[in-house]
Amino acid sequence: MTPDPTTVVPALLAAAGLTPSAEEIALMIAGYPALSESIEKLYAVPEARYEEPGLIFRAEV
Amino acid sequence: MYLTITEAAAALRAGETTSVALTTAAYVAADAHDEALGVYLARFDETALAAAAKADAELAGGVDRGPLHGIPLGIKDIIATEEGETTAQSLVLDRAWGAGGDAPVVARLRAAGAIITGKTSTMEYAIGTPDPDKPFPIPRNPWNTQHYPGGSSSGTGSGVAAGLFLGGLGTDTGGSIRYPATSCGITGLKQTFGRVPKAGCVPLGYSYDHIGPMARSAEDCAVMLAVLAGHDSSDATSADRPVDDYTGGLTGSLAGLRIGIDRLLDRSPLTAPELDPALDAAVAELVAAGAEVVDVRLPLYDELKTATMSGLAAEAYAYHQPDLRSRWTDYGAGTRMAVASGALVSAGDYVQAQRVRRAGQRQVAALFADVDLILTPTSACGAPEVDKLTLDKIVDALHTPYWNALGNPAMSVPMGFTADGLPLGLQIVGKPFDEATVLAAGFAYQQRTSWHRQVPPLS
Repeated sequence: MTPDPTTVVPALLAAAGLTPSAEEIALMIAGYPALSESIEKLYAVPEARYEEPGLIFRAEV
Repeated sequence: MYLTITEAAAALRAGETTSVALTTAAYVAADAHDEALGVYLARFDETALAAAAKADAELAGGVDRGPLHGIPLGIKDIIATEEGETTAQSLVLDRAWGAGGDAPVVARLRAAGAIITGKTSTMEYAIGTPDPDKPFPIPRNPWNTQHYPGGSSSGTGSGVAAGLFLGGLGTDTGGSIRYPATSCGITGLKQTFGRVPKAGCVPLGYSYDHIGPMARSAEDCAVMLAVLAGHDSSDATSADRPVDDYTGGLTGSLAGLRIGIDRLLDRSPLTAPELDPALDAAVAELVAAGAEVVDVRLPLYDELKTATMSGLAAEAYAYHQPDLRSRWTDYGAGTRMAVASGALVSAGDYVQAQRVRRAGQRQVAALFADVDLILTPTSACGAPEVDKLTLDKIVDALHTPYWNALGNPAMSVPMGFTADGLPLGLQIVGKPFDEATVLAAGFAYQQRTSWHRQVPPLS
């Protein structure tokens, strides 16, 4: 179930300490369902189920 | 100033021109067109002309630093140069950033004799859309100044197309070399991730960023990559492996190569009607050069595009978060919205994107077991009008971000025009670290076509 963008987006922005204008928040709310849907598809890739992430970490700097 | 780098290099050695003459001509073109095009954020006339005079003296004295010796180049203004500050086209970036001097790539170009003419315009921090309320030029396309030149390496792209320099550096996180290359009708290469060190460049997405060459031809990109490529320990992701001979394989023949094509016509709502016929014509030329071309289907297309766009947003957000909190309105409107979208991507989402990248790498490697190269259009259409730009529409049109998730080398070469005279581009993609084959295909194509020779109708 996609969370309500009118709740999630302002909450995430507030938690991040960001202060967009009301108009900007409205734009981000409008775009959130598409973003959320596209990210959900990442979790549905079966070949990634047991894949490791390509993160960069080395024990020495 | 519509010579290629290799033509100018030959003319220098034949005594038909000088570096001072080339550099002076570059600045004459800038004087004539830069106000309309918004190419430069800073010009280095004095130091460039002095370097050009030194280059001429060296050549006269028998010191030849190679094919970039005496060649004027522009540098995207998120890459540090010793001549002056880096702005990232932003009010936000600390002007002390980059005060340590040349980025490794610039140092390599300079050691090869190149003349650094100035710093070129970009999307702010290489992301977003131009903001007319900020004190920076709005980049415009030399083929039609009502249209965008593509970005984020806007100034380098339009500057090469308009003859303000012979080549230059761009950066590419989701397509920022290849998008202005296709939009301006020039050639641009995003080589394999790690092939060229990216230290000394303001980051956008650490695991997606590339610095690469932009020029009129594939041959010029090969010449530049030969100088730019190679390990540098200042970049944690720099690949420590031998550099291939990029110019030695430019024969014009593609005999024995098997090339896959995915036209991606159904992958964008903005696909231009001229795109499919342009791809047909490009395929015919590659077949005539000796290649076999077969249809393929790119796996996980939407997912890997998302892995790039959401992943780079998260990485950019990590870099910008303190400034976004304290200086929100100092950022341009398009940039702050794009970067702030990273706050909507969870840590788990980010890691999942990195897992999908690995899965994608395996599937695309399997595809490359059957073909040597893959073709797609670079963009679904010509460049949009400046006044109608949105980042969403740019992303909808582009077929470039897929390859940033994977790291493969990908080059855009000009392949025709839309009915309203805007350039279209062919994207040529190779196996990791096989830039030589990508460049050889681009060279062979350009030996048989003249799209890269077309000059915009500037008044």
